[in-house]
Amino acid sequence: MRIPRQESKVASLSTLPMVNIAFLLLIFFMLAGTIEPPSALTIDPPESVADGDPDEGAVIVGINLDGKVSLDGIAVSLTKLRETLAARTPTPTVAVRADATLNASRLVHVLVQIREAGIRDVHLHTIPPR
Amino acid sequence: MARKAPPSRHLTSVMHIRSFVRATRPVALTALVDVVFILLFFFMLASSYLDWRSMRLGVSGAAAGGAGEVGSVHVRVGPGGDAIVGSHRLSAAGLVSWLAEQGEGYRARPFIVEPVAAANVQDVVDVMDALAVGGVATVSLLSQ
Repeated sequence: MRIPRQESKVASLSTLPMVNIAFLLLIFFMLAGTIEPPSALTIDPPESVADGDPDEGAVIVGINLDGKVSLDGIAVSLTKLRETLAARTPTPTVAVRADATLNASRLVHVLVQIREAGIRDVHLHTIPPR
Repeated sequence: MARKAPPSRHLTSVMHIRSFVRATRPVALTALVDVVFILLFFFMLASSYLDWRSMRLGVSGAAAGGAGEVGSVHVRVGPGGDAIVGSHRLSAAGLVSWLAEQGEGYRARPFIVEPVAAANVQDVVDVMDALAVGGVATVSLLSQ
């Protein structure tokens, strides 16, 4: 006697809407952001009405609220910063990203070190007013 | 002798359908979804969403080989973004108005910005913005 095969009554879950949303999120993140390497320091930049375009080939020097310095995302001492910048050829453009609440005298001290390394083209990176 | 049963038509049609189904197997989407999620996590973690702008910085003073440029205007920056020019204490907006009252020759002089002890980077940037909006072409920071 043949035993009739019972058909499965569980409906299969469609994954297409989830894949749709994943693609939309992917496209959003691809278009909305710019790829940047992670930085060792957390910096809240100052707001400014300056509208100059940042130089993409510039060396990034970060200064956080505590006065710690980073070079291209890696924490360094001021002496190491000056030596590394002085050793680079050709002389690079330096972009400084300083925390907005950092004491300005610390910023000036770092700028002096950058200048002593022979760098003349120094920019400060800011963000538009929120 | 028992007659051999004829082949079932139902069985024959099922066999045709089965071979048809075998030729169009559904594509598994798991691998595609995996790759999409990995790309999504990569872009979420590697992207920065800050809209960076750039302003040029100059440094003036003893470390730059001079004690200040001849004919320069000295601007001290206090906490809160106040600018002190000579005996005048001005806010950022007041500095723009005050510069508009000065002559073009005055605005053409090099301006040197000196932050006082409690001033922070935002205060200095506010004053430098006001000087730029007020028409000053040459602005540099004073080093101690």
